[in-house]
Amino acid sequence: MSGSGQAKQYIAFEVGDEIYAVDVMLVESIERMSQITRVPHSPFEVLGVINLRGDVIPVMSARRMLGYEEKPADDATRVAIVQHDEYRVGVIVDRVTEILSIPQDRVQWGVEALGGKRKVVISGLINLQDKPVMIMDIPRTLESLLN
Amino acid sequence: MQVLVLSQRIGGVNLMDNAQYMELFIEESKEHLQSLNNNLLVLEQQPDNAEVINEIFRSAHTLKGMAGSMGFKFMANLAHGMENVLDRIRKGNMAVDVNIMDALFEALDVLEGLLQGIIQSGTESPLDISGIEAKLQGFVSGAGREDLDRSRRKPDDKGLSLDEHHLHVMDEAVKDGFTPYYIEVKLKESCLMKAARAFIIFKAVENFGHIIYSHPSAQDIEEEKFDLSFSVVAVCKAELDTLRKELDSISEIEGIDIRELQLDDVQSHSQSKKPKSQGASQGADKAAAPEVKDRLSRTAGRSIRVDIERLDRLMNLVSELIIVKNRIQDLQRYGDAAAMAESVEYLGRVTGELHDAVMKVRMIPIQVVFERFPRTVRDLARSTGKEVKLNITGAQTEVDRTIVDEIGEPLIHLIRNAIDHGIELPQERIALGKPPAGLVEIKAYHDGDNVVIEVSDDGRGIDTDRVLSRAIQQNLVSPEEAENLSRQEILQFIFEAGFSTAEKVTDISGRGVGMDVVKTKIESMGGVVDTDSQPNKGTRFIIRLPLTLSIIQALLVSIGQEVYAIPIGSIKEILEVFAGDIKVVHQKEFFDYRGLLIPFLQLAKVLECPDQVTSDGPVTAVIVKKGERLAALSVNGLIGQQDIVIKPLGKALSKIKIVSGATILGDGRVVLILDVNHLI
Repeated sequence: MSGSGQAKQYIAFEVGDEIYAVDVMLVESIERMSQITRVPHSPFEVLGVINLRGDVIPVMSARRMLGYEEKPADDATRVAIVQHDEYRVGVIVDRVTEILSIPQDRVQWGVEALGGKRKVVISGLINLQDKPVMIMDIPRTLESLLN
Repeated sequence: MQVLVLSQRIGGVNLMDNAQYMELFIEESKEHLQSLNNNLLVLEQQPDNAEVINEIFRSAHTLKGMAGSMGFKFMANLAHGMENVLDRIRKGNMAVDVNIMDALFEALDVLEGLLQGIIQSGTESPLDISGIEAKLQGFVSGAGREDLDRSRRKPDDKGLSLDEHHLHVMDEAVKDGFTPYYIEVKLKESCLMKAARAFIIFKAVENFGHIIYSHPSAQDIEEEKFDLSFSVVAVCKAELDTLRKELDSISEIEGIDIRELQLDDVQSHSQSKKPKSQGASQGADKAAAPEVKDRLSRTAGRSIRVDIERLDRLMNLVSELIIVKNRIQDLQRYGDAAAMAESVEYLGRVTGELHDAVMKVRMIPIQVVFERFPRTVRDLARSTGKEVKLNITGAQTEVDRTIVDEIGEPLIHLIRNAIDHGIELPQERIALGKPPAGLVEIKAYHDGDNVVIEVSDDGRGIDTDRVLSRAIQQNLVSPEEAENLSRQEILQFIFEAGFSTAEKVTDISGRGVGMDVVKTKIESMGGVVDTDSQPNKGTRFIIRLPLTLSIIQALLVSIGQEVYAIPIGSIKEILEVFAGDIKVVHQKEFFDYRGLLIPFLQLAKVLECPDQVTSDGPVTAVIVKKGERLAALSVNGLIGQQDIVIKPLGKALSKIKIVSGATILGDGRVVLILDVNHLI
């Protein structure tokens, strides 16, 4: 996959004051925040479940996944519904900014310098317009946090 | 025509079509394999049953055709091999014996394996079928010589065996002005490509009409499985001479014999002599009619294929309706107009009826599952050297589609156990004064809102002493505690993980995994399994499953600021509990429920509620039951009873056992459904 000059589309969003990106192919939709029902005994990152047009979907906090402090939802808060394998999960982010076209050969894959949880969640790094964008590995994240 | 060209131009269309055919192919192949299985079992019992042989032949033939058109070479070849063997049997050239039955069963298993491979990967996995193919071929070539001898001895017979269908076609053709011909062709010995030459002859005949029968079969001729001569019956709109002239012009032919067929002439071969032409063919019609009708009714009664996804969508619509109903119910509290109550009542009735209707569509006879069992029992009986009779009752009992998909595996497990551990060897049984053949009974019936499935045997029963000593050995119970256990309680140990009393690990069961898997599976469907066993009388397993899986009645309770749903089915009673009724034993709270100490669980604590409400007064407790076991769950308030639609939480939260799913209330809020089985 690497080495080719092909660009892939990513959805960029903000958590804290940093920019993260998720492969657009994994994102089913972007939703506004809705009421969350807490689920007892669920993993730390899972805030609960929401009603998505009649389906019950678990939602995870990107802040908790990335090691930020929790912050109350506001008008900009969005839920990105992501799909991987049999998982269908909402990821709560501070703000969705844009769709990025990321040339795959410019991504620095395998960011060893990251510590803790980020090591699992982040799979690559790229500098776009002087701002670093961290690429999230949704399949790996879901499999490691939910198992 | 236009459409055809168009579909060829658009690249994606073909792919989609293929996927569509694939689904159809898989469904139909499954049906044919099942029917093959059933009919082979019948054939084994009644080797002379011509109808069954024909049925089997038809299934194999259809399978061959379907697999061939999908490009599944191995399946097609194997089905063809079976077809050849069956054809010999059908024509009375070969008698059914054990070897043939075994080979046919083996071929069937390989076909099933191939189909499974196709289901999983979409393509045919290169399974080695040469062994079984050769085995089948062996029967055919052995019998083939015999066949040839026969036709030499009786040149008049010419291997012509037309069935009712052929006669009917011929009769119809005659009415439409066609003439039936019998054509026998002998090729020159020097002919190099017999199949190609035969093809040219077929083509030539087809220029004038249709070939309705050939001997050997068209497939055999195509594969050069014939000597030098072959014969066909064709209906043509041409004079005999024209036909002869046309055929004579084809080279490499030694000789051609063409003659016009008289209908009664043909019938004399297939049936006993009957009066002249018209009357005879009508007779044939009448004979054929009931058979066709019978076959039609069998097909119609069997199944209507409905895409489960479509049904699920319908199900979702119903859930939507119920959500609306709940919303109106909420409004009612504030508005309390009489009209409102009336409309709620009406809506309630509509949703109820709709629910019933949809459930009925989802319901299918459990026969689909039971159909596999005669074969399982046969194979198990053979491999264990036991004699086993299988008795199935209530196969028509309808159950939810989900249950049908899931219940097969646990039932097979119970049957294996019954035969492997339960039923004794024939000598042993005779010594015990039992009939030599053991009996395995499977029963299904409706009981209220439940479906009950029983699996019982008349074997040696479960040795409770051995179960108990094994339980002590595995530290499932202390020797002291063991003294006070009832027979029923001891039997529960067999459902513990890793428990097995089998002395030796056999091929069939007794690997120590099993009963716990059965239990888990049934519980995951919201059911319970119980057992009952008498020494030397036998063992019985009783499985109780809910009739519907998607909509349940539940009690909504508040715990702190949160709302949870508890299924009504698991609630025994609701009462007020005072502090004095609670006893603490080993740091655990117990409630004195009419002289019985049952666990008392503060749900707010168990569910780790963030804002726990404490009060000094009496608390509300919901007494829940799990089989025979009871527990008291303390809640902060009761909200009411509702029909709720169960929504799965999905894979992400599948690890959380105390919650079995969620539901959506009228205001759109998600409420979790507590799984009592895992709370206590």
